[in-house]
Amino acid sequence: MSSEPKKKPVTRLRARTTDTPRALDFDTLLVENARKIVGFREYIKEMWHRRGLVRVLAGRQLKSQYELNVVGFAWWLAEPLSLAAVYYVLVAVLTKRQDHVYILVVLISLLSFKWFQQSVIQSMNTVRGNASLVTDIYFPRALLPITETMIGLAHFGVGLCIVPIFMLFLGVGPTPNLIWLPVIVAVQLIFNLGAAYPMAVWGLRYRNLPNLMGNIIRLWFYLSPALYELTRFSNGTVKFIMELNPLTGLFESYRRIFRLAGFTPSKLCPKCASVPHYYAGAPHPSLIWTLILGCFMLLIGAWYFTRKETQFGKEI
Amino acid sequence: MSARYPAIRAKDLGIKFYLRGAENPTVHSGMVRFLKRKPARREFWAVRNITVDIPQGQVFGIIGANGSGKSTLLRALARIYFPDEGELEIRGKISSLITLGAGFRQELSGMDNIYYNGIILGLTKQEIERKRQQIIDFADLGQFIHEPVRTYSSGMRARLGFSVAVHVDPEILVVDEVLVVGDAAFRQRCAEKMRELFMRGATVIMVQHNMDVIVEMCQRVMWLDKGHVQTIGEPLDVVNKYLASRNLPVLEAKPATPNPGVISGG
Repeated sequence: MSSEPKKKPVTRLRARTTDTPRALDFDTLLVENARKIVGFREYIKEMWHRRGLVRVLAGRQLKSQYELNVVGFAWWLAEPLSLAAVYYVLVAVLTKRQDHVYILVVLISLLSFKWFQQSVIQSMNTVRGNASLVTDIYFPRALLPITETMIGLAHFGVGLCIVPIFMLFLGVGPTPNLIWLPVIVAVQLIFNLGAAYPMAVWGLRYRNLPNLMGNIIRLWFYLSPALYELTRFSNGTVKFIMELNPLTGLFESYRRIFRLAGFTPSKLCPKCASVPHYYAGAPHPSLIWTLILGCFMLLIGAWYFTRKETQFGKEI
Repeated sequence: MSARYPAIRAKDLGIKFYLRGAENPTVHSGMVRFLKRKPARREFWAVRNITVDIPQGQVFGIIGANGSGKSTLLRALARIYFPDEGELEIRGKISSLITLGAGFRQELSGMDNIYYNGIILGLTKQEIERKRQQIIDFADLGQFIHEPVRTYSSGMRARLGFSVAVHVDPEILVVDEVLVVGDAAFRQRCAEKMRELFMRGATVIMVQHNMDVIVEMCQRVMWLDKGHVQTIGEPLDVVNKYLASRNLPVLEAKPATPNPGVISGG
């Protein structure tokens, strides 16, 4: 009986933290009267163990949403393309802008924004949307917001495929700065997840929150430099406030690495040289702010989520 | 080491729910409540003070009236509800059969759903590939396996769900009244498959309203009453006490029952 865990007096309403093995392996668990199942580290391990679930849930969602063939891909592109066209026409007509590269500016920030929007809004509905899973099967619920973010990433990836076509037509050539793309995508992934975790908890609790957040996020989009560039602002204070917006770092950075050139005009794009608002280069410095904020939100959000997920089965 | 430990050990386990009335929580009602500092909800303990050890390899039955907390307890043992009080120890790979075909996607084919459901229940891709034919044969849906699940009858859906779930080969299986699906032939196959699981030493915890099934299959039975344990013990004893308390005719010990422990117990 030496390996038997030592008997301790039961302490009600407070999780014991020492002596007893909490998780010997993934299938052997000691669940206590805690707000969480096991330690954070074990939880991460278990998530890794069940990571296949993300691919399956996302794949299933995508497959049933659009049959995966050529027509399905076209559907994915239809929305950002039509929106970009609408904004382009609107802005080109209203402001009499002559530069056609503008459609690329709009398209790239729209794709990035769609990803963010989808991660947040879908995460709010994800627990209720997977109600039959959550009430009947145990798995780390933290995989659900990841799934929604990954579905958004898939859309984003497909959306990015049409950007080269536009670049070709507009005569914007690629540059080595494109190697920054994975970095920016990673930063946005962290930021999206950081926003998705608390929203998943609150979206389940407050039923009308998705509607409210839908409006707030749309407003946020117009306040972010998505349809216009940060270089349009000459006032330092306004610029600084704009840079505090975590979406600014993302939109500006995507734009820069796709080399919507102006400061460094290339031979491939002589027209761009006459457009002062575009610039090219490494990601915008405020991307670091987005990263810091994203990491902070993700840590706090994931911790909050794992504490609240124990009640999901009852709250649905 | 595993043989010495019970598969499941619950100590003073309690699960509570919150009663909110008919109110649907919304953003504004949440704010109003916050400003008025009004308590949002009343507590309701669905099960409380559950202390039980279930050894490995035992078939454990839970009986009780509707609303006595059977399903809540079952979900707690399957890790879906977390203990609000007390503690719970689970040793072994656990699989729950609470609703058959949980997480089926209506618009995908039965074949696709086997794959998705298998992963959701914790199988790996390779295991599914290996067991796919067995699962298809067990469900016995013929050509309909390639049709979308939304076209299935409820019986067909349940058969497919059960077929996937039992092929997970769990060490602990938690079953909520799902054996009542399908026709006689399928029920026979289910019973055989369950027996195969017992033989392999799996622990089974089941909720049943059919007392004959309980007496036939279980080695120990818990009677839950209003969320508390009324009795734990020999199946026939407990079942008859339960039936007597509800003024129902008690069961006779059947000489033909395959479980000799039951006869001596009765």
